[in-house]
This record gives sequence, structure tokens and C-alpha cells, in this order.
Amino acid sequence: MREHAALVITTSDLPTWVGHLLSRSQLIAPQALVGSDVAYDVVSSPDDVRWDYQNSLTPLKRFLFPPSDPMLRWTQTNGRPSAVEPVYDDKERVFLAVRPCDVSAVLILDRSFGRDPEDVQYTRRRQRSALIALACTEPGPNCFCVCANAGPFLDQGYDVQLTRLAHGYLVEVGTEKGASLLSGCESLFDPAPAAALDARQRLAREAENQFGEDKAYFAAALRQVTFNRVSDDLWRGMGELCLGCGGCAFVCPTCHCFATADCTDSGGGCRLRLWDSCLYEAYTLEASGHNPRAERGQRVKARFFHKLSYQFAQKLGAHGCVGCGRCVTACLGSNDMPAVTARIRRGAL
Amino acid sequence: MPHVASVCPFCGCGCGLYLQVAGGRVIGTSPSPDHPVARGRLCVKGWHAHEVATSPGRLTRPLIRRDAALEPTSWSDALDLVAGRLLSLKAEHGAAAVGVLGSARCTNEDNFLLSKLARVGLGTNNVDTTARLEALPGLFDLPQYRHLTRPGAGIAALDEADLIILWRTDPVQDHPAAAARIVRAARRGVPIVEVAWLSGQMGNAAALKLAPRPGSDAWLAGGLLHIALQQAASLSPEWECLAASFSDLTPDRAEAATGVPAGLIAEAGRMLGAAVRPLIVYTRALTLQSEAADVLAGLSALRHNNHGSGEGWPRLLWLSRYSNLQGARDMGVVPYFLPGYQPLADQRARAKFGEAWGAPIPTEGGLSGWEMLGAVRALFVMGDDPLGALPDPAGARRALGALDLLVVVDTVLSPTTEAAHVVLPGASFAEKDGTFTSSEHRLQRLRAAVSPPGEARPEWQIICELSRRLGRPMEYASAADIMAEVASLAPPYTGITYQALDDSPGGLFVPPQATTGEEAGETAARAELSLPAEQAPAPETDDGFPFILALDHGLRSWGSEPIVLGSVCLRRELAPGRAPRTAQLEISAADARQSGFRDGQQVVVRSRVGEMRGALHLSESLRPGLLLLPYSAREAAAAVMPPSLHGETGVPLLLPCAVSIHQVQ
Repeated sequence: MREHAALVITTSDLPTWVGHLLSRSQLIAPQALVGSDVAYDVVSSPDDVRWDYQNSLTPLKRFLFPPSDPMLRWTQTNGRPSAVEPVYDDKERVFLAVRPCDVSAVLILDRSFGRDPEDVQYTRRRQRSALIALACTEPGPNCFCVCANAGPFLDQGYDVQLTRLAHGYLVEVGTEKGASLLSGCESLFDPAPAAALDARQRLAREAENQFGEDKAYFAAALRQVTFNRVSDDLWRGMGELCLGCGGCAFVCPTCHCFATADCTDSGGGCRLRLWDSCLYEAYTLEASGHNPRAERGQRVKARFFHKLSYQFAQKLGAHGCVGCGRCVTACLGSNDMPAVTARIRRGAL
Repeated sequence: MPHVASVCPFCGCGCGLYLQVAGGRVIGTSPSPDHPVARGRLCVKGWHAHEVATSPGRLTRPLIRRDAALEPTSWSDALDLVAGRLLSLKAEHGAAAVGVLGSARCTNEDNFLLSKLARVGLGTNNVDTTARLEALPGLFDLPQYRHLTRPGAGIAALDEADLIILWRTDPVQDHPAAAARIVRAARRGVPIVEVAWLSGQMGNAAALKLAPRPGSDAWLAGGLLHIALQQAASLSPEWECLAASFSDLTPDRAEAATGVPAGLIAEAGRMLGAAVRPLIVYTRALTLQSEAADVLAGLSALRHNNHGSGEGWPRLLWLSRYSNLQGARDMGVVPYFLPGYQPLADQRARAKFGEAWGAPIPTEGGLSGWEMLGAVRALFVMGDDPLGALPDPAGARRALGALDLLVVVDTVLSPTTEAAHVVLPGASFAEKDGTFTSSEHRLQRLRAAVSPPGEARPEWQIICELSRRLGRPMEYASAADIMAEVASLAPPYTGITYQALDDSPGGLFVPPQATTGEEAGETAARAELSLPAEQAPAPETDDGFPFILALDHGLRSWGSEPIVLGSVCLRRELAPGRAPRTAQLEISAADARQSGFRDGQQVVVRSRVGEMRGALHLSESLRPGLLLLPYSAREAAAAVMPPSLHGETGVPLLLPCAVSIHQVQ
């Protein structure tokens, strides 16, 4: 099967393919939780997969970069550390029906963790992962991926991209790894007829037209942040709207700051990597007691400099937001990305 | 299932969250978007709640004190020792010599069994939790005051209110789920009024900031009512009577009593009178003050004024510091109530529980948590920290040290375990089934996501094992079995099952019903409502003692909680750096400048009775004339402000006092 092949699968054959994927590796897909909640989670049966969700509150990064993750373990003899061993997670994983914004975000994480020195903890997991995207035909009310060029349909970056059609799914294969996900099940897939490809283009256009008025004004914000033209008063004002929960960083699919902590017991111990947030006061607290970002406004400024400045976009190949809209839900205060870019554009709260 | 639905273990808001499990460990949490309180959001504590379970300091084996050190032992040895000592001390000194403390952080099921253990296993009504102190020094549970918190507003009222008064609470620190709603209300243009000594983050969004002199909150409340009442077009007879009691409290007189400018009092009063849906939010920073009952009696009287107000408004929203203080009280971890607030004094209630529990309920009244210390010979403590909660830690430490037997069940070491003879490892919220009842009476399920570490066990199982050794076997196969018994004995939990809770993702409301006695108490309290004195009993300042020293219950308060200190990220965020060697005293920057003090300066603080040392911390948002000390540093102030006993409850309170500040020579 060559790259960029376009195929179709019927809705009734889909569970057979999912069952096949399940037999080969750990399969992670959106699942229903309590009430209307949906989250990416490990699937045990094809029936577990929710195909009709809008988005999960938490991104898939926690499978590649877990909130609490052992990095190394050591044993202790006579009170001194002896053997120190790195801890790697080499599980094969397939992510199924993930949203294009999450796929775009993983590409940003790849660049950040893949830069020299390579973060092996991340890249080993990533090398053993495959991404099957599910294009968004009905964007959610908080979504603005269209402003970040990260959706609602992907042109690249996926191993496989699925698009829901009337009686099945269009299956676009983007990589060799993607092609391998179909091997062994070739009989389930047919070449995509021209009508299916036309439908995909139409659905993509229709999806783009569904985005609401609350778009993110990235162009203005990028310029203003890059050239430090946002007034300190505005940052201070936005600092007042930050309640310091760190939730924006934890639901953001591209945020990847972490702290480390050593946990010891009588026989040895392990070093944990723990999610951290730049909005936390003690995040930049120095051993001397000095804190270069002691004020909330300074911390908000630092966060959005990392998200929006050209300096950072140049490093990561994209700015640090994919428009998933999760921070709109999770922000305990009122500093989500669309709100902040709008304030920067108009220069006032 | 790697996403396990649970409830946040920190404050009384009761946010629904998921525990994320991988490889037998809880590795993270995430909020539930569908949950009516969380709505997809958590605060810093909720986002790190899993670290409570994975804390490196978790207790994993039973410990017995031998030669001054706590040493590991087996469960059977530890429980045999505890049961044997309890029985012999009871035989020697009587059941009244034994006391039991329950927990505002353990489940309803744990607390229900603890109440049962005390009353039929040990034969005493000495059962309480010192966390109950924050609920108006125990007044909330006195029949004549219970109406003050009933029916009480829910958190959703913050979305509907058209005026929000934050009465001595900094919701950003104390109850972030409430703060999230207040931020949004302020953005919608809802006016916020802040009553505080030290203005918090919400104060920056406040339309008005009122900083009454310590001890004068009741006069401020009266001053606001005086103005608000003038705006009512007509008054019911009952309200007329109430209005009369505030008729003398003009803004000028209120200013004299509180130090708040008359213009501000008048403006706030007009806002209160004009609002259709005013909401007053208060927490323990108010209820741990001696005048709290007067303030609440005044403000709750507003509820009876429906002129101009919407149905059921104005409302009062009480938020607890603890995830399950409400549940612990509901379960009868109160000396004078059996589960479901059935009075111990009621013979029919005693007979009902005696029959269900297979042994008579003792008739002799029990001691409160603060009375037990110094009065009992043996204390069984489950997830409570009297040394962290009681106003006089030195006295509490002496009392604990003098006990013949101190048994502590907990998940991590706390100041209280330092004095324990036996320490038993309990399960964290992530490791057991059970329920919490939030401050707004929302009953919700916790679900065991992982096994307890090492040999630790759910508290209810420990109680069952102990009770069997005391000759009173308790047989429960699961926490659900315990809830079935709660549902059969304790209204308003009647009919509650785990299945019913599973079917209601946001939980079920279980507000306590008023008893006839309470209604009578309410009427009597309202009739007596008036301001007791011409002048607020403010500490007497003069040229020799120009400042008022007061304790602040909100200031840096999470940083002293054992479950916070056990969490890597929360310890860094909420208790950064090493504990200061000297008490940190907040002083207004204006006062410091005028007196020539600088930030960090070591000083001696003298009152009329004694002196203490501390370091000054300059604050731009503190009321001038005040010196504030965090509650966690109260021990340092013992010589300056000795405890005085609260008249109705006997709770030792640390009241504000006049002081002077001097450079260290």
C-alpha cells in the first residue's frame, strides 16, 4: 500500500479493524465517562470507542508525557545509591480517533522533546506510537483550530486520517507506519471513489464555515507579543484574572514543563517527572529566595510569550497553540487563549 | 478502568474529578466537565490531588512506640494492644475516660462506624472532631444557632446573585471553585463587596472594600442593615421589629464602632438594599471570631425580608475548609447528636440506635473535642489533627502527652502522631470506597482507584477489626453495606444507595431537616436580635499600645496541612522554603514606613500581658493599625494573647489585643 493512499471502510467493518488493532498493541481512543464526559483512555473492546464526540477535556499528551512518570530508579546498599537504571516505557501504542488539533500538538512536542539533547523518555514512547486522526466535521463551541492551522482537517502529520462519510469512513494513509496499521485487514478497505474524495473536500469546507465568532486573533497578538508592545498594565490586569490553578498548562496539548522529585524508600528510590505550570508562583522561585516572576502578571506574560512570540515559533516551527479550546473550559480564572489574544488586540481588558 | 470518578479531598466545595490510573498507580487527576461544581475546572490542589495518595511520606505499616521511637509491628499485635489497653482503662476509670476523634477528611462511612464504635463499642458519647471548631466554634451544632446555616445557599447561587459580599474570605486561596464563579460574576458586572482586614485577589475586582476594626463585624453588619432597611418600601411586622433594633445604628455610629468610613457603609448598605439577589459568602475566618454569631444572626435576618428580593433571597453561603466536615457532623461525630442530628437527649432516638446497634446508647452527655483533651485518659483519633486545629497547641500537646493511650489512624505523620503510642496506617481518598458530603450538602461517591500502599487499610475496616476485639463485632462486607445502615437510621440519608449515587453523576442533596426544637430556637434568636452594646468591644489601643494584633485564619493556611506537606508540588506552591524560624507578622506598608520598620525586620511585640518575637512582612493591602499573624503561627503569640473561653461553647478563642512593636535591641 503506497503512501497517501485514499481508501474507504464501511461503518459495519470498522469494529473488525479496531479489533485487529487491539490485538496488536495498546489502543487508546475516546471513551464515554460519567455523564457527557469523554476522555482518551485505553480501550478493551471496539465497542468502547466513542466516534461521535467533539473533544476530550484532556489531550493525549499524558500517554506520551505522563503527569507523574518514573525517569530512573536506583537501589541502595549501606545507605549509598548503587545501581542507577533509566526507566523506559517501550509499549506499542495506537491512538485512534484523535482530533486533528491533538495530532498537530504532538508534532510540536516532537520538535521540542526531539531537539538536542533528545528527551529519550518521550521519544522512545513516541517512536512506538501511531496516530489515527478523526477529522472534525462538527467543531465544538470553544474550538478555533482553524485560526492555528491545526484543523479541522489535516493535510499532514497523521499516520492515518479518518473522515466520517454517510455510510463509512474515508481512510487517508499518511505514512508507512499508517499503512502498516491496515496490513492484515486489506480486505476491509476499498479504494476511495471520486465521490468520497469530493465529499471530504466539501465536509472540510463546511466544517471551516462552522467556526463561531470567538476566534483567536493570533496575527495581532503575535506581533504585539513578539515586539513586547503589550503594556505592563494589561499583563497586570490579566494577572488579576489568573487564579493560579495551572489548569491551562495541564489541558494544553503543547505545554510540557515539568519538575522532578526523588522518592526514596529503604531499598532505593526513583526520580519522578511531574507536570508543572509556569503560572505557579514557586515555579521560578530561586534557591536564594528571589523570584524573577513574583507577580501574577509577569507569569501570565511569560506564558503567552512562550505561546505566541516569533522567537518561540521559530524554535518549534509553529506557535504554541493548536486552537483546541480546552483552556476555555479549564481556566479557573478568565485567561483562555481567545480571551487573551482579543485583549492584546484591543489593548484593554 | 483507568479513569476513576471521585471527589477532591481538599475543601468543602466538592469538585468532581477523575483519578487517572496506570500500572497500579494514580498518576494524575483531571476535572469532570460535566460535574456541576467542577465544570471542567480544578484549582492547584485538585490538579495535584493524586499526590496525596502517592506522597513519599505515606504510612504503610502499623507502628508502636517502644523506647520513645515508633517501630513497625503487625496489625494483630497493634490492634490487640489497642483493644486491651482501651478495655483496661475503661474498666479502671470508666467509659467517660475514653474519647474518640473523627475526621473531616475521612468518608461518611468511616465516620459513621467511628460514632458507632464510640457509643456501643466503648460506651461513651465522647465523640467529636476538632475540625468542627471552624463551624462557628461548635455553635453551628447548638440547636439555637443551627438555623443560621439553614437552608443555606449552594455554590450555584454565585451564578445568579446580583451582589456578592465576601465576608472575610479570600476565595482564591480558600475555595477556588467559588472564586471561578466570582471572577465571572465580576466580569458580568455583578458588584463585589469585600469585608476583610487583608484584601485578597478578589478585592482587586471589588466595587467596595470594607476593613472593619477587629471585633466590630457585628456593628458593620448592623450598619449595612440600617441603610438597607430604609430602602424597603414596606415592611412586614416581623421585619419592622427587626428594623427597630438597627434604627440607632447610623453610618456615623457604625463608623465610630468599626473604623470604616460612614460613606462606605452607607454605599454598601444601599447596594444591599437595592440588590434583588444578594449573596453573602463566609468561611472560618468569620466563624472563628467571637462575634460570628451576632454577624450571622443579623445577616440571616435579611432572609426574612422579601421586599424587593427574589424568591429565597438574600442567601448566605457557608464554605468549609474540609472536604467532609459536613458529612462527619451528619454521621453523628458530634457529642450531643446521634447520626442524622437525632438528639442524644431524645430517649426515642437512643432506643432506635440501641436496637439497631445491639447495645444501649449511653445516656451521659459526651465531651467536645476541645473538652476531651485534659479530661480523658485514652484517645482514639481517626484522621483528625487536634494540634493543628486547636487554638492552644501548647496546652493540647501537654494534654496529649499526659494520655495513658493515644492511638492515631492516619495516612501521613502529623503533629498529633508525634505524641501517639500507636499509629495505624489508613487509606487515602483514592484507595477506598465511600462518600463525602460537601458544604452545600452534596453527597458524592469516592471510588477505590488503587490499593492502599503496603499494609494500610480503609479506616472503616480498621474500626471493624478493633470493635471485634472490644467484644462488639461489626460485620460489613463493603462501604456500600455501611451506607445501607446509614440510610436506614439517619435522615436525610434515607433511601440513599450507591446505585442511586452512581445514577446521579453530580451526587444527591442531603440537607438536614429542621427539628421542632430548632424552629423554636430560631424564633427565640430572632426575637433577641439586637446589638448588645453601644460600642464594639474593640481592643483598647492607646499611645503605649497603638496596634491591634489579630490571627488570620486564611493567611498562608494551606501550607501547614499535613496532606499538603506530603505532596511534592503543593508543598512547593503552598509552603515554599523552609518554615520561618520566627513568626511572620503582616504589617501595613504605610504603618511600617511611618514607624521606620522595613520588610523582614526582626521585632518584639508587646501586649499588656506579655511579649513575642517575630519578623515583619510589609503588605500594601492590609488595613493600617493591624498586625496579622497566620493561625498556624498562633503558638508564638500565646504569651501576648492568652486564650479566653467562648461563653456558650467553652471553646478557647484567641481574641485580638492591643500591642506595641519594638526593634530588637
